[in-house]
Amino acid sequence: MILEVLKVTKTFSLGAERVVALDNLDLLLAEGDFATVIGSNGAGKTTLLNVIAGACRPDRGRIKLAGRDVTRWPAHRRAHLVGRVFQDPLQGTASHMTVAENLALAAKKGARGLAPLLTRRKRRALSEVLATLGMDLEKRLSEKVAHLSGGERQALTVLMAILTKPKLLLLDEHTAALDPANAEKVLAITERLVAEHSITTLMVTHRMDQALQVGNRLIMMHKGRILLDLGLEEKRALKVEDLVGLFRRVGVSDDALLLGEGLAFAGGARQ
Amino acid sequence: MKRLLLAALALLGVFGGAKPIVIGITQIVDHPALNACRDGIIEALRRAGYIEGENVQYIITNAQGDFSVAMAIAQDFLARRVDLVVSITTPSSQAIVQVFKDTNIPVVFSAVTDPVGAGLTGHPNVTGASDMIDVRADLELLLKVIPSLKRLGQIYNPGEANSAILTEMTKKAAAELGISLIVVPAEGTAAVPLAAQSLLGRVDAIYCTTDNTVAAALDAVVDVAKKGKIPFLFADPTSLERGVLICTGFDYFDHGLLTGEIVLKILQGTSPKDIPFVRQAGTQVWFNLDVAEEIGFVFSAEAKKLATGLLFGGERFVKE
Amino acid sequence: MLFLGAAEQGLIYGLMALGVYLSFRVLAFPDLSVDGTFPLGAAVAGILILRGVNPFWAALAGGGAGFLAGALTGVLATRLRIPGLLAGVLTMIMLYSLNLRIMGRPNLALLGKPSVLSGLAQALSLPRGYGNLVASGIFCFIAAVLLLLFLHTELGAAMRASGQNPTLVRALGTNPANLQILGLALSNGLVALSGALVAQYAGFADVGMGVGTIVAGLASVIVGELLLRPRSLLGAISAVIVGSVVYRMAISVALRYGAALGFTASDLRLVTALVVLGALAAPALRAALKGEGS
Repeated sequence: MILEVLKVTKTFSLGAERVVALDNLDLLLAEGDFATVIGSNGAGKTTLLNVIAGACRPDRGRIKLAGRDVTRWPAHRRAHLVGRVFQDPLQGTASHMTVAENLALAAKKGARGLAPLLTRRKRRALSEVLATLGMDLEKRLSEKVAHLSGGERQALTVLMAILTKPKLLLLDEHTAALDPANAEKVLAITERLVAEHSITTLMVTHRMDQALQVGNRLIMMHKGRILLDLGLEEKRALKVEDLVGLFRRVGVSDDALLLGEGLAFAGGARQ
Repeated sequence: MKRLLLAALALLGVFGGAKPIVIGITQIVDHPALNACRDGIIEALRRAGYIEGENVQYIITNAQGDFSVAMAIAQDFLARRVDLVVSITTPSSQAIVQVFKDTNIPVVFSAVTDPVGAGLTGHPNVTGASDMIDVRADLELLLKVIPSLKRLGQIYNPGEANSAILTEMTKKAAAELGISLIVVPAEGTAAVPLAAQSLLGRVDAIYCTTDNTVAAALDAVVDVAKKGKIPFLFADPTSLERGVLICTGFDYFDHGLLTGEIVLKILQGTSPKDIPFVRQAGTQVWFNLDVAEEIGFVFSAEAKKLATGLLFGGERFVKE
Repeated sequence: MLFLGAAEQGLIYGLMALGVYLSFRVLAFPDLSVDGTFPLGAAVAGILILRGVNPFWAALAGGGAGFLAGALTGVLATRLRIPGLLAGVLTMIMLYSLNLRIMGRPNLALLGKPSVLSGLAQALSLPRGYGNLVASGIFCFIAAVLLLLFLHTELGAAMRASGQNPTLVRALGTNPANLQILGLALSNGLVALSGALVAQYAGFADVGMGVGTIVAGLASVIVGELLLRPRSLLGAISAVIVGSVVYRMAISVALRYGAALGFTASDLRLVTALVVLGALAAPALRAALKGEGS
């Protein structure tokens, strides 16, 4: 098992109220799995990713990555095993530094020494890797990332996240902030890179069609619990209307479904 | 050579019609005592016939507490090739001497408590006036006025060079005279009231030297001294009316006059290396009889003989 | 001639400006401890020189003391989670007493004592009058080159990233807190080294000589950026040095010609603060003018 989420509970206090973001949740991902995660607002999707990545600690339960208990590990220690792409294109890169510098930083995880960041040989290697994206970014190695478009930045972020071949890749609605054309491109790049390097992936999405078409598993969350966990065949057999129907049966209205934005506390959990 | 030229210029200047002598004056901060000193220097020169705008031109600067500005002022003076520099206070003097030490432009320092310790001596073109007060004499005065004096308190700012030296001297003199001394630091004017209050009930008298921080917060110390009926000796005679029981020392204006005398000697042809730095002499001793009455303190007839002046009914009376 | 002194000062203080650049721009940490670490370098170097230590090693020791003090600020801010500004202020306050202790008195006279600047000038047989300028230039240049090289290493690049995006750095497996501590240590090491050199240049070390360091440092960095508008790291570091020199020259000009314009010496501080204020507020003002929300 690459990922084991074992009986994890996480509660947040909002003033006098207490919100249960994750409710005794269990999740197992085997090597090679590509699971899409959907759910309404406040279902706990982002909190789940945060707890796996180490951005927040669960109140109860354990997290295991590649067989090791990482529940007590701080985020930067888990980084060797986990790659993460956020929804906000600004969060995945250092925008005041160049494309080459960002990639070079991502090419190595952990302890850093006084070796020069970029040598001519490294630049050539990075250029080749960038070329595989097919977005002409290898021609813009010396440009500051701030000058790239949102789509280009997300593509770069995806590349940076998988460069050191992490055991698990976490995608948090990473195409949601992009326009449809770029969203397609980035998704295609994501699928290709994941397949090429056989990276176990957990992808949160708000688009149900995406959730059905991509990956070999579908997970539906509601109020901190997993309602549905479908395998490849069951997934393929469903249509979007079926999913909507399922949501309604659980009591989620169409509006909450379509909005797809997190509540304040979920946004807070992103930190 | 420059010396003679300077003297010649000076003489010509006094009799009018020649290029005015340019004197650069620098001090580390804007401060009443230092300003009084500067005024005294200018007054001494005026009395000798040097009128601003006619035969002398002053460039008056202050560094506003910024040492890099003090250095910049020194370099500015050198670039302008002033004829003479007057530097008031230790840091300004150090900055000036560092820049002017290899030139033959005369430097006259003023209001520097310890010129030797500050590294200002040993340069042929540098001399000046030290404002070091006679601490031991002050303590002896206190013993004569208060024969039962056993415990003495002092407030000072350890960050002021002049002050720290005087406090060291106080410690030494107190030990020699068998007085036990309690020293309380105050790193800024805001810290003075608490420092003063901490002496209540622990001392028979309070003695403060020419510390700028205490001077700025003098009222707080006066209040505490009056409240505790503690005799207070402050080494600044201009503060008598503010409620200090005994004032010794000298007026910084007089110190300026003394410094001005040195400047005049140089302008008249004497080389600075032939003028050893002088210490301010002529210490005044003032007793405030109004405050004495307020706190129930009695100056014995013997003690009154030691005063050079008395304050009574709000008026000053100088001894003949 | 007037500007020779300003140029010398600009270069020696340039080391301090490089330190402030590192903390303020690279780490995005407004570090007030520099008002205490600058005189710390002066104090340590001064007392060592008076004890007969070679002025070069004395200066380096001063820098080392600043390095430790900067690390302290970093630890206060990261491990103890004290807000950055407060952490810097606490270090500065502690250093005031420490500096007095180190010197034993508030002012140390170093006039006539060996100085690394004059020593270097002699060793290189520089013409009289230019000795200080070239010697300070050499120190400043070496510091700038070392800083530039460092920021291009893996560690330095991670430090640059963490100033803007600590989450990214965490995701790359490095703890941004440690980078901040190291960065503040290096920054204050530079500032203290600058203090040690200034003490030897000025001929004295005084416990009060640190007042206004952060403002002067910020002014230097900002003036440099406004003049050169750098787009690369090399440009940015050059801009810091240029800014430091221009800043000191502006002071000299104000001293010399200010009276004619109606300035008094007391206005200097106000003008400096206004320059810094203006540059820091520029982004917000620009946005307000364009009608964007606050």
